[in-house]
Amino acid sequence: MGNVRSVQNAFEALGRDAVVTSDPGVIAEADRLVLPGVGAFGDAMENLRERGLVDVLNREVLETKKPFLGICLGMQLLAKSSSEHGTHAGLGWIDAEVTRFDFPATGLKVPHMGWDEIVPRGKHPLMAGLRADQFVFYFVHSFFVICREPGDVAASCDYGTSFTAAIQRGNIFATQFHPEKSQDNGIQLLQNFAEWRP
Amino acid sequence: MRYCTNCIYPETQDTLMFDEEGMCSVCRQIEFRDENIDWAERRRELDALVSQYKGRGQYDCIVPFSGGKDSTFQAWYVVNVLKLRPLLVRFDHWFYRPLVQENNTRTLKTLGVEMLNFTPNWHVVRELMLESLTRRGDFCWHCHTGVYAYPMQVAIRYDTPLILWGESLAEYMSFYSYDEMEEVDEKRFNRAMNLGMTADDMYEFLGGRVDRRDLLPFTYPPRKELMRIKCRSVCLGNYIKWDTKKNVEIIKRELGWKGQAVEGIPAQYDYEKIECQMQGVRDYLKFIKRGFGRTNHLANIDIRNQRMTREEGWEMAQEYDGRRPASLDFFLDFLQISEPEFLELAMKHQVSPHEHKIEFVKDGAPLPDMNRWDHTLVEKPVGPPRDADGKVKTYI
Amino acid sequence: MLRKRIIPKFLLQGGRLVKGVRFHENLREAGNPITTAKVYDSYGVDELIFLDIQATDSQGTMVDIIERVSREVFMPFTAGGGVRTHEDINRLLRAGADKISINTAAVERPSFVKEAATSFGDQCITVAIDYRCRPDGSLRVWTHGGRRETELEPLEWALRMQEANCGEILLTSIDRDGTMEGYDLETISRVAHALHIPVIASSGAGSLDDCADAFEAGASAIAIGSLFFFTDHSPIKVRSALKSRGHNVRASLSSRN
Repeated sequence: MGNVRSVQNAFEALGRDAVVTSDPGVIAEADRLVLPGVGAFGDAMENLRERGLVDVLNREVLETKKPFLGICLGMQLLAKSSSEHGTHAGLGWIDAEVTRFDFPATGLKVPHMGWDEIVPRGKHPLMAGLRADQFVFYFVHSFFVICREPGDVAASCDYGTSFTAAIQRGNIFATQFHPEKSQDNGIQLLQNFAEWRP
Repeated sequence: MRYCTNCIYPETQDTLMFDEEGMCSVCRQIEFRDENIDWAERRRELDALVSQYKGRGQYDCIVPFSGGKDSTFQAWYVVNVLKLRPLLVRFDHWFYRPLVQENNTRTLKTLGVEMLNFTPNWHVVRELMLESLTRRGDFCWHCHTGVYAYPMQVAIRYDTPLILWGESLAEYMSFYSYDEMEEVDEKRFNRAMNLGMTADDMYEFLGGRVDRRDLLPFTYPPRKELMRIKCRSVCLGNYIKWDTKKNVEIIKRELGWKGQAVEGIPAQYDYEKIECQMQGVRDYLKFIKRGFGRTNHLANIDIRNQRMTREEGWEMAQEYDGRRPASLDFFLDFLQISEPEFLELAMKHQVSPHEHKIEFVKDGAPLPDMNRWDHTLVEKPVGPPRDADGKVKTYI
Repeated sequence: MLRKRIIPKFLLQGGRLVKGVRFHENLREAGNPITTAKVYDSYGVDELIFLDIQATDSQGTMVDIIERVSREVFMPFTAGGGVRTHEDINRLLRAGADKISINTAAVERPSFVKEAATSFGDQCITVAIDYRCRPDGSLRVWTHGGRRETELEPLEWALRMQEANCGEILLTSIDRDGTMEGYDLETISRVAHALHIPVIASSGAGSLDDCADAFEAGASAIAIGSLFFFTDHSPIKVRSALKSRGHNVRASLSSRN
């Protein structure tokens, strides 16, 4: 489900070996992990549980501390819960909630779809190499994340309300936007991830 | 029509953007070039770069060469300052003027270098010119693609990864900004050179009038091949501060390079674009489409380098831009189209808000060397079958 | 601030790009889809739309093209043309498409859109609405690549599709397609202001002014075909010109987009 292929293609275009898997064994062997995702929160969590991946991810990311990158839904899943199509529990790695954009009055369109600017907080290694006017990435989502810990926020974005555009916590990094769809700026971020030593 | 508040570029120039002060992006880029670049550091980077390639193979580097002021300067610089052993690669676009050949002879004799010249098939070139003119109002596709793709193929064939080009595109346009190190690669080829059409596209567009192999010289080689030789294709203009007037003085003095008159520009710019017979037609097309010509462009360079005021530049451009070039007669004959057809094609490509006024166009004077230009006509028809009225088929 | 988007529209026939007028007239060769995608990527366009106008059942060609483009071009793609089943959508998403455009299938079975939005996420589903103007001035939606008229009115249909949770509407005026005489601003404005999902205005761009007008009419994005394929207006020119005129498009000074 979702656009995993593009993420793989992006890493391969950077000369890195990237394999798409849902095999716990392969995940355990990998140096770095990327959790992309498009689709519904509830379905995704159910999927992860069914394949026994929740435990593997908890172990590899929280204990072994492998570099981890979550993208779009893959970032939302890190939260404690989401209200998409009913209430669902997430991985709970980050103290955050996922809610739907709801702008009856403003006329802002939902989904938040297109290229938008993010405001970085501090200088994270994954955002290195980007000029000041290059923090524009492709977003496509109807649900957004709000982190309770300001320290977890690597970048924010404003769309009717301020929301978390990127999460940082030790060996965990996640983006609401799609770096694999954000041309040069996104590829820079993926390259930084490939070289990252958290 | 909106113009830059500093120079006289109009809004119809491709890629141009204006800031809150109404200054255009190219003026800002030149400011950046003059104030924010540590050219000493850049020169050190250049030395570090070339030292990796010196003495490695048959040639230290490739210098794409036409014989115009820029490539002649590049060749001189590479040999005399960088002390490298280059292979000059010249793509013959079919319109070199006699003086250029004479200049090249002196240059090659004085410098002592090897040169590879490639001449594409004239029948194919005519087809490409007409197709490009029809789709884009710009007939120079074969030249841009040939000049930028062919040396890359040579680099692969001769296993010579270092390719040294000339000035940065940031000097005149906003495809790249000056704080970037412009890699002369396929992205740049697609972005700024091939008018949005690849050789593969052209093959289909020409509907079987050429063989697929005829378009190989215009084809950018695959990335894998360039990666295999670890190609580095860079602009000297990113490493040394480009000063056209100074460069011209050097080549005139050191290599006996001579300038000559070019259609549609004042006599003092006798070094600019002297190498192409069709330069006048090219500038005329730009005037029809965008409302400015080469004099505007030259004035801007002088304005940005504080050698001319904006008012002076404006007066000069008004006087010289937009005349019908005498070389148009050659052009029309070669492509077997009439002047009304040419104008009709060109007018379809106007960029708003410019509107060309045919009635105000004056004739330009012929050039003194025109009697030495080849005017051989090939009977074979050019282009797709004409429409019911015998006119060139247009796309819109 | 969310940027307005400029989206080249690629129509595929037999694996090649083509472009016509009012859908079927004067179909002309427009290039190789894969290399053209790379070219447009180098210009820094915001997204690409690929529509298979042959709308074959298996989308084999489209899947192949999307797969190959996805290897080298990293921007959002919308793919469509003959999409009728979940498996069609799945195949295209797996190939690398980000959004799927559904047209005729939505009219034939409106619940398909809701099902697809639930399975794949509403942001994945774009409903394409092609319409023509009747002699009495009223508008009607046409399906099957502009070959069959329906009784549906575009705005009313768009509202229904919004209800069905699609993420975006691609609104195409068949009358203006390929004419380069300007977008249908009145309809764009009516539809864009009535919906809370984004609307991509398609068909009719002939000049920079047309592009600016469509944004002003309320389109979140503009799709462009003939202007890019048959004139010297490149996407770079369009975005820099619109930026200079004060429109909120993505246009930076560097080659990095």
